[in-house]
Amino acid sequence: MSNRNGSIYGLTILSPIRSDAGIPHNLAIRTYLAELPRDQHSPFARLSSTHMARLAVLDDKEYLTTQYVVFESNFDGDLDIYLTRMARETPNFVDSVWKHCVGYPGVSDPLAFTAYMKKCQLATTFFFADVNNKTVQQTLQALRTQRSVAAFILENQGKGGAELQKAFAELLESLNAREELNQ
Amino acid sequence: MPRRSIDVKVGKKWPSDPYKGLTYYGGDDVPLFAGRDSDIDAVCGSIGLGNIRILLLHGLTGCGKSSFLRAGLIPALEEEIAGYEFLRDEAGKPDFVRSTDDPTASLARRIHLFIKREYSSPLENKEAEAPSLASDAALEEAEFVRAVAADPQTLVKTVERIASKRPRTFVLVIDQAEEVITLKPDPTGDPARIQFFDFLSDISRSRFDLKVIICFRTEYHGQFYAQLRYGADVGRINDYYLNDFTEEQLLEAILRPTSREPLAGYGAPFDRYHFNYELSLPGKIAKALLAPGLSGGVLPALQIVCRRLYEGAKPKPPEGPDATKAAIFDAEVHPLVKSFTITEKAYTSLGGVAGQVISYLQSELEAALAEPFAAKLGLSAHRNEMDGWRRVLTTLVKTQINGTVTTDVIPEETLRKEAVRQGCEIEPKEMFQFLSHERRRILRPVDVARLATAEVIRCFSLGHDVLAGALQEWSDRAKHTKLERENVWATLRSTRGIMSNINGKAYAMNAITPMKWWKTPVLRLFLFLLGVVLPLQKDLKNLSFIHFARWVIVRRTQFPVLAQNQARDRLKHDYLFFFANFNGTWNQCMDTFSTVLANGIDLIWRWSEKYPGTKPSTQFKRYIASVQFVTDYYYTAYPNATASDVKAAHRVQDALAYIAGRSKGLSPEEFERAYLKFVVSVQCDLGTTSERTLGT
Repeated sequence: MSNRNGSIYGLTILSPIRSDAGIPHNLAIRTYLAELPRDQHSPFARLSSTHMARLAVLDDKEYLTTQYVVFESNFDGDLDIYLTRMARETPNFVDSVWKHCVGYPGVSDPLAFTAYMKKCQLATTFFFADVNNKTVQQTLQALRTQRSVAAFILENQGKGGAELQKAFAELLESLNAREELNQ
Repeated sequence: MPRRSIDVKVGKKWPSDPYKGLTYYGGDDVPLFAGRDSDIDAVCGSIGLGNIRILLLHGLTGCGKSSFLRAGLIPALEEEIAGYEFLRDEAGKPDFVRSTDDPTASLARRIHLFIKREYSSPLENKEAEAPSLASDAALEEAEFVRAVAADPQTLVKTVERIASKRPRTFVLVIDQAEEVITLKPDPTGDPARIQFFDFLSDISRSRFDLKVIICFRTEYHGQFYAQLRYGADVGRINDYYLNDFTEEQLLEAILRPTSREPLAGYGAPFDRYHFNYELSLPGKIAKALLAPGLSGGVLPALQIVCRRLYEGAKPKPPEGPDATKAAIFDAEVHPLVKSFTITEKAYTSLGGVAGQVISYLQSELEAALAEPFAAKLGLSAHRNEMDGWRRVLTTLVKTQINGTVTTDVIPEETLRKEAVRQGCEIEPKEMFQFLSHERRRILRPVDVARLATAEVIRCFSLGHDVLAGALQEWSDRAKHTKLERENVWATLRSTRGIMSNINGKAYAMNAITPMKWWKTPVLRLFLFLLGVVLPLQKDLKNLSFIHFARWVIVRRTQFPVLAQNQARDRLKHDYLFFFANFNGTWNQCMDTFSTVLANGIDLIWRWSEKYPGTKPSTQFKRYIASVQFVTDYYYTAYPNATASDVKAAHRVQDALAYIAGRSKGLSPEEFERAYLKFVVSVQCDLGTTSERTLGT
């Protein structure tokens, strides 16, 4: 069993949803998630080590009467750090989803939240990561570099010698400056 | 403790209200402004660096950017450090240029007004070079704005000329600058955006002693930098993130008006406002403000709650003929006034912190209905009138493509027509005036200048972005009764067209299949071997269409139990979960599973109940469709990159690092050869990822 592939951690969480009479917790979670930004304003963009993550409400299978929130995340580094960051950096998001779940202790004590999430964790039996040795930041940087290099080659076709060398030095400088900006 | 500058002032008056509601703190409110000293010091240091021309000041909505500037930063820079001078309006107050969708035009107008006041003197003509500020001032406003439209450099040069004539560093503030992005996100907004960022680029390279502070919501930070970094000198731009208040800062802000510590020149705040809180109440309010789920910003909620508590508890002044006494009672220090206490009971009856902005809006609309301009109409249905105005105000709510809710800027005439359409009986002009009153600040008048036509249109925005969130929530509540009867989620999905399992080029798939418990160990062994020796993993890597995938076996006894009283399933089977993040369509993925990867896939799923095998593929697809469950939310940091793109990008990065390391000290000819090799090595890896990546 391995939750890890290279430097990537594969987290799988199954949190039982509360079953108070008359309160549709599953719909409340879905309604919240339907409104949650999925772009750079996503809480996962703030949890900057997240490559990919998803949430699903598991409530339509006839053999499971308990409803669950399924949370799957692929991130860089250590589980405890990630869960603590969730509690500290995305408390509104965490609270909006997990307040509908059984035994959720809140986010005010990150240790209690981490312990709760670990109780909900399922060990991954087999975990595949296509690229397993690069962080999110390294991948984003590589994608930016790829675009800049493509544009550079196009713009500098036909140039040679000193002129090309100078332009290339400027490209490297601008890439460095940009990475500093993005750090 | 308040800042040192306060101590040296004498004879200053306390503001009449200890809390501001939705109005920002201004220059007169400095002694009440609390909790931002370290931010003020940091920004003063940041902007004080000689080469810095532009400061990007950003924060979440409701973090108090406007108050921070007016009652914190400007007094500190102008009075404590004393080397700065902000653009002033007709009344001598710092003039914050409201961005609108065309900030260059707005700024051109304000600058023209300023030079008209300050530099119209004939003396200016004599001493100045040509063209001079006096000649700019001699132009009609429309002419000047048109000249700027033709060439933004005109505005840069005018600002530089002003800066060169001022004895102190000249500072401009552009407020709510996100509007240049949000108000016209479609291509019709591009010309004004380009003009504005060109203007900022020129300013960043200016040799003159001037600074421009751009205030905006943090959500738009990325877009600002993306636009700026193409043309501006980024070394001369600093940015500062204004954090939300901590619990300690909130307490300081709540308690400042109750302090008995005298401030030189003012006396003690308590001697002016005469009130206390019950001992544990401020802590309770601060905690509630920081609780997760409070929408719309902490500071507006604090200001509204504390102001309502204060006004509710304050002894009422005499009414009627004793109006003069009332004025004295209310306005000045009165040694005979008895102090009063704000109680926890009052706070509880207010309903706590959540929903305060909505409740504030409601109570102000109700107050409008009691005003003479409404009372004279003898309205028969107050609720209809309230609902009508709520809908009129809601037309000012703008939901951005990313879900952020902001205020729109709409011409007065359009709002007036909307009020008529909604059947509102109150005269719109009177209602607009009432809602825009400084004390309420529900509406805010904005004069929008147009560079193209040089005309100025009277518009309104909401007084604060938090009102946009509150109005939307209020409208949602109004619709709630209807939605309750339906499946809310289904409605949302169908009306908004959300494809919650797709994000850019990535597709999220989930499946759960039951297995007889005694088969589980076999599958577990197989999956273990798969991780170690079998070739499926290699095939997956070579096919390069899956970023991440996982299989998770859950024994029937292993489903999480978090509480004694949790309802539990009596399960007969163990279960196998499958999660994948792949590129392409679902059909393409299933076809690959049932052809290239068939052997491995069969070995994994054959232990599941009713699994038909990968062939024929139609049965396999039907089976997978039946065991899938819906993804409600899907995030990827690089939505527009496929798994192949990611690997290609890393190869380009490595190749670039290699040539960068090797090319130092090469002659131009040697470099050209190395470069050619580099191009050949990366040419297959330069495919496009069409849009920007998302992660931070």
